[in-house]
Amino acid sequence: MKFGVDELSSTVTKVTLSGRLDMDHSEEIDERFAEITENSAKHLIVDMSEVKFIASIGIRTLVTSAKTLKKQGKKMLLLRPQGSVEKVLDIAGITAVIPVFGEEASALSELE
Amino acid sequence: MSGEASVPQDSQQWTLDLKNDTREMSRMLPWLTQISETESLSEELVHNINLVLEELILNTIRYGYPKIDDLAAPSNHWIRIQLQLKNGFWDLEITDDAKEFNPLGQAAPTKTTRIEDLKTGGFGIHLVRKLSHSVKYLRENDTNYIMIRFSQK
Repeated sequence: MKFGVDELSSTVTKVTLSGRLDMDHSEEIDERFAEITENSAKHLIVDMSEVKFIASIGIRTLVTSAKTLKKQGKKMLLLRPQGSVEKVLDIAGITAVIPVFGEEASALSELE
Repeated sequence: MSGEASVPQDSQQWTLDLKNDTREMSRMLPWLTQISETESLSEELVHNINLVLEELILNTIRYGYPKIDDLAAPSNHWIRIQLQLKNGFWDLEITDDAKEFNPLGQAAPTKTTRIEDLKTGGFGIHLVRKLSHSVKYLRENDTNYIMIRFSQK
């Protein structure tokens, strides 16, 4: 599991995840997301394109982070979830709440 | 020829026994990968079985037993996972001696478009139902039985 952080602008952070969002990695990912969402007060784009697997424990992390951001008046957007990961996010009802974008540029323009 | 092809042969029964510790869950994917290579399972089927196992086994270990800290410590508890192609379906059966818990009693998450209204939990069982053909639960002789059936793909 990799967790990359890019400061795209003064108002937007991008987190790039790769690997599996499952029980084995949940604690580490929870901590990293908490650090970012509780301290930054910036919008967050989560690049999901390299995530191969997501279980409900990973969904919980995304939802918790999106709620924390919302309280700060900030948004979370998801970028390019692939195949089975997108299907799982759809079934769980996440894509109806956290917008999904195919391109970083369109996600950024949503936040401007 | 087509008549023969329409009657799939049952597979061997694959079995994995786990202790009631979440660290044991890392043994599930290699087990499933081995089955997948032998039985030529589709990527989608492997994904769905993998996700169902993640959800149900985590539930059982977290909520069904008192917590244990030492993986090497002797445990009197057991969780058995079995998978077999039978009558054209892949049947996954989880049996354990955890306290009684019917996962099918949980309601599906409420649909919403507002992040404030979305609950942080309750997705697991919903995913299990949606990614399988059918799910049954039985409690008998102080044992939980969960039977999850997948279409053969």
